[in-house]
Amino acid sequence: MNVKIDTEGAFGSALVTLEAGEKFVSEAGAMYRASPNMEISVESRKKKNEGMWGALKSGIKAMFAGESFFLSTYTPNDSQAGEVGLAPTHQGEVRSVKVGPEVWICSGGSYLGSSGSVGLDTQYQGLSKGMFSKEGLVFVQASGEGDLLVNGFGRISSVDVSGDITIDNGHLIAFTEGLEYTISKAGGGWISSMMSGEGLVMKFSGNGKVLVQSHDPSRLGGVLGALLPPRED
Amino acid sequence: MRFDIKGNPSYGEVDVDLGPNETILIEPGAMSRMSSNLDSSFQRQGGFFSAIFRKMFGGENFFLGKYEHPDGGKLTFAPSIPGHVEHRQLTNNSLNIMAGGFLACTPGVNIKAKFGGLKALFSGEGAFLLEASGSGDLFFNSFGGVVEKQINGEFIVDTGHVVAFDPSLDYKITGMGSFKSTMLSGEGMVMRFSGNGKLYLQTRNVSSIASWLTPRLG
Amino acid sequence: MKYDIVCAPSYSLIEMNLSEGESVIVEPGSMAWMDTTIKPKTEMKGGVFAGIKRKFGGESFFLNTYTAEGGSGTIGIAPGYSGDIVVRELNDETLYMERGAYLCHVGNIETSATWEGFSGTFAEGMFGLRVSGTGLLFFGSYGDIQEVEVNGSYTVDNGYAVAWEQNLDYSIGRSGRSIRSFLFSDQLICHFHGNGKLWVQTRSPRNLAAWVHPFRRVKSKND
Repeated sequence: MNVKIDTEGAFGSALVTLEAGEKFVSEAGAMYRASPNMEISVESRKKKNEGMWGALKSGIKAMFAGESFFLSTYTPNDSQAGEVGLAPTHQGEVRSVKVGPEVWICSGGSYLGSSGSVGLDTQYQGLSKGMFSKEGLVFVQASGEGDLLVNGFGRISSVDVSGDITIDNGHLIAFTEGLEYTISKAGGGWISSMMSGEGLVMKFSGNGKVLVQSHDPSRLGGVLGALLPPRED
Repeated sequence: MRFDIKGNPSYGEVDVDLGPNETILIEPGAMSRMSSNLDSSFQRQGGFFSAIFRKMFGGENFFLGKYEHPDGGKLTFAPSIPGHVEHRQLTNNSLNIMAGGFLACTPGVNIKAKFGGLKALFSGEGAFLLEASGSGDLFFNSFGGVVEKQINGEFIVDTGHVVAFDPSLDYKITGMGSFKSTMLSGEGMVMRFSGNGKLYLQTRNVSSIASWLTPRLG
Repeated sequence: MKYDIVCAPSYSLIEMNLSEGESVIVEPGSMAWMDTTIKPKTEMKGGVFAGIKRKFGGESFFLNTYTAEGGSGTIGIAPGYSGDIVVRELNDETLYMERGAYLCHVGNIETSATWEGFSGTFAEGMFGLRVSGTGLLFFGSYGDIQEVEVNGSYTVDNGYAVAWEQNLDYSIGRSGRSIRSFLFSDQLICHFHGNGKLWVQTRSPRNLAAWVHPFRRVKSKND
């Protein structure tokens, strides 16, 4: 298996080459090109140990919550090697991080794909305060061993935490499990935050790594959404 | 205050190292990460009426996020639209910046709205200018790539592609010829510059993205 | 005529210098800046029927012609979406492209609509564009552009195919054989067959449109 990441310019993408028998998983809808022998199967997201029916139910709930909950699995359907290209929705970098021994908690829109050997819990509830997250309800826990592909809006920076750092929630991509964090409003109070335009922030402490993105897609959404015609629902 | 602009030309963001009691004022929502000790609050710019005027016409919120601490601290901020971030050191002079381009400044820089005229209202960009004047650090941004041109004479720019320009340049906002040909040509309003000075242009703008996306919406 | 592509590959813009009397034909809305010696003219190229054919191709009813008069001049041309620009010299050839990809051309090139003959949720391209003739053609991509030399067949997700040479055919299908793919109704796949060049972009406007949906204002009774 080989993952080639296109780093030239502002629009990152990944081209994954698989030998017969190898598997790769991605957010369904991330695939943009593939060799004709690539078998693509679309599955619902599952909690660990959840059966098919439970997965379908929680998936449908997630769909009504506005989240895309499908994952696609790719593998060559003949004895030849094959390739599949994965691209995120937004402009920005794509990066590969190693899973194992570190466990990564990756935010909703930042998960792009992972090798078949990585265990995914797509309804990770460890982030119980996640309901306040601007990223939405979805966090993915990636464990086991293999490669995790993340995408960021803008450029991706890796921050080594040893002490305290405050990160605006819209800029969070992923962090290593084991870091302690609290979620609060920036500016110390609701009014102050509203005026200064800052939303939720996460204060990390302890030791670990955080991946951040330079830009916050919800700010682009606000500017762009205001210029678009109104919607029906 | 020390600063470092990273990520140009596609994803400019600014790392700032604030000394004790040094203050920076940034566009609302622009803070991405900071050392946890920094105090963040908000500051209204200018007097009441100028603030309302700026909010209605300037495109910039009339509150700015204010960051400082007696011990100093680190802060990283980025614009809402990805692109190139530019720094100008103002030394008792000024720069005109289009609405949406202002990112941050130190307290010695004064931000004021300039009314672009009635035609500017129809431009879709707001086409209103901010004038940044005084002394201090000024940060502004473009959407996408920035092209600098030294103007000697006349030049025409679609209003959505103007980022900033020296106050020595005069400008007029017009359509493309007659009103009918403006509507048919698909071009928006243009700014006709004349004089001598520096002009910062951007190769993309958000309203063009909106026009392109509109027929493709669900 | 001289040209330079600046701010490539992500925010590409053409800076084209025209000598006196030279013209460039441009998709409306794509002029970013120009010298005062560049004069615009809006017209229907090729008469009423060509205009209508172009309209259904997703390109505007009109094309703009910019001509340098009273001296040479520079014009800056860029699409509304971010990404790269491809330059292609056409020698009495035909190229097919996604509507919206066409940017500008110099020379004797005709654009017309093609009916893809596919009904359904093919949001991007019930209509494609057929571009043929001799001259220099410029088209844009949303995101990066990648060239694929197809030898046999190749698969591209709907919305990512930008342009392809005339000796390629394609058929539309659905991804995967999973029963649940019916819920994923918008993942239509294009299978290209033949031998020829295919241009693929790395972002899709449909994904952006879906993502921006909750940021749009909800229609009120007064709208």
